Order: sequence, then structure tokens, then C-alpha cells
Amino acid sequence: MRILLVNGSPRRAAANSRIFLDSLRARLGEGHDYRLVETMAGEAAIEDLDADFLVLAFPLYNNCLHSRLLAWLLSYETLLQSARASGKTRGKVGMIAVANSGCPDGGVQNRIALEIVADFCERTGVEWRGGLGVGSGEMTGLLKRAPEGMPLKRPVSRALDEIASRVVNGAAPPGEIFAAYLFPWPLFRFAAHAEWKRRARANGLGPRELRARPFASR
Amino acid sequence: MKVFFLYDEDEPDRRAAGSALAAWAEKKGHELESACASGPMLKPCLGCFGCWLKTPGRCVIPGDRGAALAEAFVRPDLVVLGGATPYGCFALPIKAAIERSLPIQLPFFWRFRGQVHHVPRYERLPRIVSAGFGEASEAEDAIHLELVRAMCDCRAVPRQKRSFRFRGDGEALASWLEEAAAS
Repeated sequence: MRILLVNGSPRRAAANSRIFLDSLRARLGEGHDYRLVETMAGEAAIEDLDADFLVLAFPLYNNCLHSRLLAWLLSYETLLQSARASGKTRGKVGMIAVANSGCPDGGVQNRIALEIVADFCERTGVEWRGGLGVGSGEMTGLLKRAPEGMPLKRPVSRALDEIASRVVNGAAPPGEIFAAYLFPWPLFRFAAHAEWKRRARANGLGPRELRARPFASR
Repeated sequence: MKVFFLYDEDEPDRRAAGSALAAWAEKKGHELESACASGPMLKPCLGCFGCWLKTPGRCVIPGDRGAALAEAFVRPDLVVLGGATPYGCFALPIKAAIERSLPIQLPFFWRFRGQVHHVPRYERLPRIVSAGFGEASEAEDAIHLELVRAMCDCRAVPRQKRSFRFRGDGEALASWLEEAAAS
């Protein structure tokens, strides 16, 4: 199968989305022909239509997709329409997507973004095999080398197993999957806030400066 | 009340909506500012967090209107977005502008309306509503309304009550805005 891995993150190689794409590739095995595209590099290209399957991974941006990923989807649709009009397309194309949000909440905040991707499939005739919404996504990099069975990581590992199986086995059962790393909210909040403050201190900024309001005079 | 109308393309129906909005604002004594989000394409947000950790509250990407648009998402009382809604999302120019408004939030988290969000940087942000233009399915209108409501939650402002698609009727637009302004 020709599989197009689509990284919808502006952070490119440094993105958690790339880790998800690598994880899915490891699950699917090397018996496929993979190609990676970065949506920050530009719109969809004609060779992207050659793929049998699209695997999207992207961070949640204002509750939906990053604008460069949206641009890529719109351009893919335009290319597909042109190709169909000239009778050049091949068989059915399938798609799964992994969205990740920085907030915990079990990944459900990704629901709208996955609905948008599902609507793209509805519009284009690409077969939607479902999406995975991951919460506390910023922990992905920290846990990259941790064993898949580690309790903290296990809910996301299992969800990745499930969504990867849909590439080969189809979309049963339909619907989206949501999962997050097992990290209690109070602890998550404490650790995240401490990390933001640490990174700001490294730039010479104190807690008060971090909360600056440059447009406050309204 | 200060109203900011940000639309996606300089098309006849957007201009018609702008005229209806101007008439409504004048009648009600509101101050209206309008801007077209298209033109020189905004540089995309890089996810660098510079607006949180290097120049708090200001985008670090130079050379375009992104920083000015971020300010326009803070100063008014009501922001009206108008544009196409591909797949239920925002039109590209509007989406890019929204992304560049990341500095209006803090990196810190809080729980609001039952979900975890980033804390708004300002005590009060403008209400925000979105009107669709062009054709869309019912499902896309429903997705778009959900999306705008989620954005309202992120900004801790009242949620948009109902979906609206502009079909040339200025009075319907005024009535919908009246509802939004009254919430």
C-alpha cells in the first residue's frame, strides 16, 4: 500500500505529530511504501494523489487544524477534482487522523477538528476510517522512549494500536477514539506551569512579565 | 460599542454584508472598523511560543499584519468574522489571522465551562461571532457553530447562540447581530 504520512504541525521534525506518524509507521510495518509530506512546505502536489492511504497527524490549533494543513486539504481536493475530471484517478483512498491537544481532558477537545477532517472526506469521497484525539499531547515527546506498556502511556499506546488497525482492517467500529496520558489534572497543571515559568526565566522574564498585557488600555 | 468586522475576501456578498453592518452600527451608535483578511498572506503561526515566552502578549513574527490583527482581537467589544466555511472550518485568511492571535492567551491552564483551556491574558476579551458565506451543508454549519462556540470558551466570552449564513438579507444580519450584542 502507498501511504502518505501528512505532518500538519508547524514544528515539522520537532513536532509531536511526527512522533505519532513514526509510531503509526512502526505499527503498520515496513511492508508499505511510505512518503512524508510537511504541510508547512506547501500545498498538496500531484504525486500526493498516488497514495492509497492518507495518515494525518496534527496539533490542535484554536480548536481546529493549523491553517497550512487546511490549505493542504483544500489544494488536495482541487487536485483530486481536476484529476477526476480528466479521468486520471486510481482506486479508493482511505484516511485516518491523529489530532493532539495540549490540554488533558482525555483528548475530547480534538473532536471538532476530527469532524472537520471527516467532512473533508465526505466532500472528496476519501474513505474516513476514523480519528484519534490525544490529550496532554505535549507529554508525547517526554514519553517518546518510554515502553508502550508503561501505565502512564498505555491509554495512548492502545488507542494508536486501534487507529493503526483501521488502515488495514477498515473502519469497524466507526467513530472516533479519545485518549490521554494518565497524569492527574492537578499534577499536570503544576508541572506545566512550572515548566512555562522555567522557560520564561531562561529568557530573563519573571512571572509578572509573563502576564504582560500590551493592549490593556481598552 | 466597538465592533470589528473581519472578512475573508473582497467579494460582492462580503461588501453587501459590510454595508448592512455599517447601517446597523450607525443606527445603534456603534463604532465599526472593517478589515479584509486576504491580500498579502499572513505568515503562519510557527508554534514557537515566542509570544508567551519571549515578548509576552506580542507575536514575534515580523513583517506582516499578524501583530496588528492580534490587537484587533483584543480592543473591540464585538468581533464579527465573515467568510467561507470549508469543511466547517474558517476560510484560510481568517484561520491564519485567528492563529496569530495566540498572544491574547497565557501559557497557563485553567478549567472553564467544564474543560481545560489556556487562561485569557486579558480580563475581558471581545465577544466573537462568525457568519458563513457561500454554500455549505447542514453538517458544516453545525461544525462551524461548534467551532466558534469552542473559541468563545477559550476566550471566556458568551457563546454564539445560533448559526448564521449571509444570503444577501441585511435585516437578517442585523437581527442576528442584535442577538449577539445583547447576550
